[in-house]
Amino acid sequence: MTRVFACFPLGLGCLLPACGDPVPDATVATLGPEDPNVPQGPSHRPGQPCILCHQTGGGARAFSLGGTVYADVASQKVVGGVSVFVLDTAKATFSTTTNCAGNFFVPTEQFVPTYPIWLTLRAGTIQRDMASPAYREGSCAGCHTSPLGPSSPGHVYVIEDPTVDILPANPQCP
Amino acid sequence: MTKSAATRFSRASRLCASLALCGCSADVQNTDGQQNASLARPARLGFEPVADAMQLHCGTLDCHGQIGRNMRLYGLYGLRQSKKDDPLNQPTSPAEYDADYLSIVGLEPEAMSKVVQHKAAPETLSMIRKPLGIESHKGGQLMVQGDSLDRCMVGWLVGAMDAQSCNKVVQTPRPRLDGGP
Repeated sequence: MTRVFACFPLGLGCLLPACGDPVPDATVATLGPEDPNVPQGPSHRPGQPCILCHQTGGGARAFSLGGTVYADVASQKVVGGVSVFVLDTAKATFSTTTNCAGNFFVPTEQFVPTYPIWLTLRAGTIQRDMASPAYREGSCAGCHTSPLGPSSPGHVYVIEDPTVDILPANPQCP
Repeated sequence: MTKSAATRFSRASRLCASLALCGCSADVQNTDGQQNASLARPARLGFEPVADAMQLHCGTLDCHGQIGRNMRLYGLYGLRQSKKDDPLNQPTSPAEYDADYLSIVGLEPEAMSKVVQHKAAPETLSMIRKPLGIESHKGGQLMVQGDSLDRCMVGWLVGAMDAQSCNKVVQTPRPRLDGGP
């Protein structure tokens, strides 16, 4: 059994976090194992729906929002140093910055937005506003999956046209 | 089983299957309302502005723009019907408006019929109660009585289409980080 609560009586730890809810547990299982070259932490699992595990009772530190920012719609290059601004329906704002894995996250102890929310990315002089609000999904990858298709606008990206816009240099993320 | 008995059994099975399928077909026709003239529905003609307004507030990919969700909506900024389309680049197609219409009128056909015939209040419908916050709604309260979205949806339901309110919903700019509207 892989559920955390089922392991406690045996005094064993479990490798996979589990909610005890079969639907998210099954979804988490589809994400596969950790990349052995990336330690568990702020840089792990880029492009995956963070809140599946990073929610109250989800087996990992709870986030209200989380995602990964890529260079452009077709690129698999992640971008660090991008400012992520969240504006909620109560006009409350929160900002954070992507790390070198392109990941950003908002711990629930810092900010829990009132939905709907609007997100904006800024990298140097480039600003990208989300075209429509999010009404309930805290994981960017809950909707923004790759590739672009009928059920997804593609992953979250900064540059609309790579032949025109150039990302600012970021020496912290070689 | 002899060959002739097997043949008779096979014919009987096909006959039963055919009869069963006829029954299913009749049920489907009744379910989508085509054969049931006693149920009134809001107009399909002029529905597009209503769909556009609902798409922005209800049909995003994290809500009713998802496979598996009831009142599934298709269109710009949400789920697309055509494999060639994506959420951000093609306007809502006529086929998507048709699908949205059928999705909405199929939710509570009897209750909706009463509203359309002015025999019941619009708030008797889940599609109005939920966004008003009268009934539990995972997506929260999305409108208040008398605002543009409410006037848009209710106007359409009761035959007093208010395209101006629908357009206002669509044209309202997103809030600005610097404290704008």
